[in-house]
Amino acid sequence: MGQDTAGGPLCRTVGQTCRELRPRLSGLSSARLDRVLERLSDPLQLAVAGRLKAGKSTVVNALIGRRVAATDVRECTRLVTRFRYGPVDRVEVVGTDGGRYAVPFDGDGVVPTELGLPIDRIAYLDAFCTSAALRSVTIIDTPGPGPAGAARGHRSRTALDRAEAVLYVFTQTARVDDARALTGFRARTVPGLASPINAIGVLNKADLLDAPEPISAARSLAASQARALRQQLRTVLPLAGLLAETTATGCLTEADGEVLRQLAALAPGRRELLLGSADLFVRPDPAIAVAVAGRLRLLERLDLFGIRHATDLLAVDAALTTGELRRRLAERSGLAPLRDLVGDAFGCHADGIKANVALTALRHIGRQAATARDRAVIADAVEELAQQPLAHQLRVVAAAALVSSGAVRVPEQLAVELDRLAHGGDPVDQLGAPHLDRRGLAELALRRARAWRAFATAGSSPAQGRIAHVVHRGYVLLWQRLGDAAEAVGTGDPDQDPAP
Amino acid sequence: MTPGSGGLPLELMRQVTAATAAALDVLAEQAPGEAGELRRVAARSWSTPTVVVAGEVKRGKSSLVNALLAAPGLSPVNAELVSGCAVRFRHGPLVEARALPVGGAAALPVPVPVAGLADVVFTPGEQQDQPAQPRLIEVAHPSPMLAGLSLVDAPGFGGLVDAPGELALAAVRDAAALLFVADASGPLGDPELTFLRVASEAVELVVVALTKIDVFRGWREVLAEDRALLAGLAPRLATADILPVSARLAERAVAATAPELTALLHTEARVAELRRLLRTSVAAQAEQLRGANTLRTARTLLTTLDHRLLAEREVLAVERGGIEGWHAERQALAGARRAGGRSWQVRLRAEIQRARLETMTEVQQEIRDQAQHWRVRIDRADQPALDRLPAELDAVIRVLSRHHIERMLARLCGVTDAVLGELFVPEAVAEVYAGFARSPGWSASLATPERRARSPEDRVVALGGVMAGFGAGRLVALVPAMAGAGLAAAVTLPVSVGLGLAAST
Repeated sequence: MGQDTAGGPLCRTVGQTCRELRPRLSGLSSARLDRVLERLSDPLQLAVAGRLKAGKSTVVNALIGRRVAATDVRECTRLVTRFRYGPVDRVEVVGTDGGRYAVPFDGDGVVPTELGLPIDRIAYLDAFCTSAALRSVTIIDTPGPGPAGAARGHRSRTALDRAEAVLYVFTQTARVDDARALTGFRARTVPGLASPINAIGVLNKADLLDAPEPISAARSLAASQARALRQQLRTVLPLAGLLAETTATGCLTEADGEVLRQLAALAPGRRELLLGSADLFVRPDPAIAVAVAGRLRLLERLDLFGIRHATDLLAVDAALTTGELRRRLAERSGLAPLRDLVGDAFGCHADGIKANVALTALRHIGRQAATARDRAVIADAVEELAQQPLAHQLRVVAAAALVSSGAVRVPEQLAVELDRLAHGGDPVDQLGAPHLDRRGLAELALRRARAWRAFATAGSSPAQGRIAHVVHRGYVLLWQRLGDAAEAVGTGDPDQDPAP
Repeated sequence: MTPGSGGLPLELMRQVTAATAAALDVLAEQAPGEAGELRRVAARSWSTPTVVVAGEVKRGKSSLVNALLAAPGLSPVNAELVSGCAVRFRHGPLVEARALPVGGAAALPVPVPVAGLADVVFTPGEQQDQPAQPRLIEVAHPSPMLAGLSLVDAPGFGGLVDAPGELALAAVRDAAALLFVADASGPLGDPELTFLRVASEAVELVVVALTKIDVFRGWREVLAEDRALLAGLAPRLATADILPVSARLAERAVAATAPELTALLHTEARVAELRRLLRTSVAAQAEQLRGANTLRTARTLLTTLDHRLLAEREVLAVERGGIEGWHAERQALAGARRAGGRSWQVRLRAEIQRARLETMTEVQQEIRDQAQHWRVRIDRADQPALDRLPAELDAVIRVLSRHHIERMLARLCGVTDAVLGELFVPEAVAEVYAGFARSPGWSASLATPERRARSPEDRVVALGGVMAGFGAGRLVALVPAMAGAGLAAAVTLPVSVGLGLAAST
């Protein structure tokens, strides 16, 4: 998916414009343009952000499927680390002076503690991993806000500036400073997108909520947080981070399974007492034959909720294999929906997001250009790009984001239709009519264009009207494209009323 | 716990007693009436001190209160909803609850079923007979924990709605101690540190409870980080106690049947330590407040006595100088009065006018800002948010009006100081203030839970208000009458003479 979406139709259009522009620009502007082009061909840059101790690195490991980010309190968790796909595992240290040199991962395959430079002279880390998950997305692990993060703030910008989407991790409940941090983060990293299309919230440590059934409590809590933060986040997903990390990275060994079986065999009262608190769980007790070291390891791998769930499963069915146990625990962690969303939502939006970011960067270069000629050339190119039928899809995507975020309300049916139009892969998907031939599709597009125009002019609020106009034009362009390909249905000017 | 941070050391206690005794000796000899007053203040019993339980939303405040009282489910807990109003727990023979509606003393408390507390706390009242969310809910409970203090479970701050932070701070200002609730999920965040910094300026004793240590196994590291953060915040907070507790284990301990299991769970829950600390240090705090108040009264009485004796000595000195001195003095004063004219009246009028304008501008600005803010909120709100709005608006208005009243008091104090400073010599101004401080019904009290401690300055403001009401012309007659209490024996004071002259013209 990754390599093709990175070069999706929208990105290709913007890339084409950039390549045409390049020879006509002066030195500085063309060098900046090269960076935009470079970014267009990279996978989507996803930043993982959140408060200190929210479990950002745990989420990163779970997504990558390998324990590469240090999750304990090491200095490197106070650095921005970019995890990218690479043929060889290595970590590149990028100094504040721009110099780079490589260090190997440490013995456990984790980003090493010893980096060879004092921490205040390191701008960020570039970690290359062979994990398949990184082919379609580059994950940027950010330090939490705090004294350490703030001091290095301007230096770690280089890596953060490249973020195109955000995974915001919080625990228990989003607080007012989370909302503020998120707004600030998005304003800094992806100023081109005024919609939450590229931001997902993760309600981490869902298993630690103070409720009898933490995971289902987390699910409804996540839903209400998503409503409260709909201006900033596309959605909020609950996640038991540690459980997800352990099961996704294969850290639950056969030995751990054996300890779990021993625990499951204990008398229910004793087991219940052990699971009372973390301190109680690792308390040496002569009456319990399970070694404390094994228990400690389990606690670090699964936490109490995971252990409780696993022993419950084993108590019911003692013959459960460790592999099966791992699968059931993974199911409980909530990682699968998150992975799907990151792959899917960002994946199918990646083209739109990346193209939008590139377009914003292009406009920015235009405004900052040294010579009036450069400014005029770039402004013309951007204008021309906006005239292209394909570029209009960017606006449709933005409109769909406005609707899905709840910032603008339209009737439910129209919202579903708009989402389809914005995110469908081809005209059949976009129109949601697999049974129609090309001609039928063209007619359907025309009918929908009329319907949206009627909605735009009659009985809609100004915000709805703006959206409806964008959608109307989107359908007209689709109709035109379908018509052009099938036969010359008409040479109707898309800006005029397509209705006869 | 370091000595002196909470408990009152014996040595200091002994010094307080000795100082009070010495003051009593002096007063008994010179002014038996005042000595009786000091004796009355020293023996006065104090209402129970208040401990405010505050913290960010969802940190487990209500669970902790329930654990402290060993009353599971008393203060409503909900993993999703956030408490909207404060709940005050006081000692009582029966478990009962009542809601104090918005609207001050005139509004009568409404009894609330204890089981239905959650409905009142979490949702703005929608019933016909109870149009708004109550100002405060008061719950009586026979827990021995409440014998020496009362607990206020303040609404959490830092949620996605912005009002309650101010509410929690306002509650802290009236309290003897702050029990700050943080949890072991991570080190203290910026909003928490800001709250602690502001709150620690208003309240003497701060205790931090680190909750949920049963779930977060890294709580020891978090505790160490919190301590470092607190030390960086204010030197006074460096020695603040941080106690790890687990409300959930405490609840299980109450429910457990086997005695050794109960004991183990109680040990792990660590609630007893927090209970003990609150009881000893807050009780000591009450003792300390009592000592401070007694000493403050003694000081006021002694200062007055000192002024009076000085004045007497002056009179005696003048008498020794003979009647010529009196005539000269009188002429000098009459001259000064003619020269000075009525400039103080003009100044009083100008100052009051200025205070009025400044207050009005501020209030208007505030109203504009708030109108703007709420207009945006209403525009963006959906139905549930709209339902919550009245309660939030009410809370914000309450906080803001209090803020503005305080600003206005401060401003009127400035006016009074300026005008009195022009009329009186500093000693006489002190005498006027002292008179108010000693007058019955106005005595200084730090421990009244509902009302902020009143300083003599506040009372002068009341005078300032009266002045504004009466107009400056009649003030001349008013001032000697009111100051009379303090000046009783000092009729021959030069200022009194001056005032008397002014009054007779």
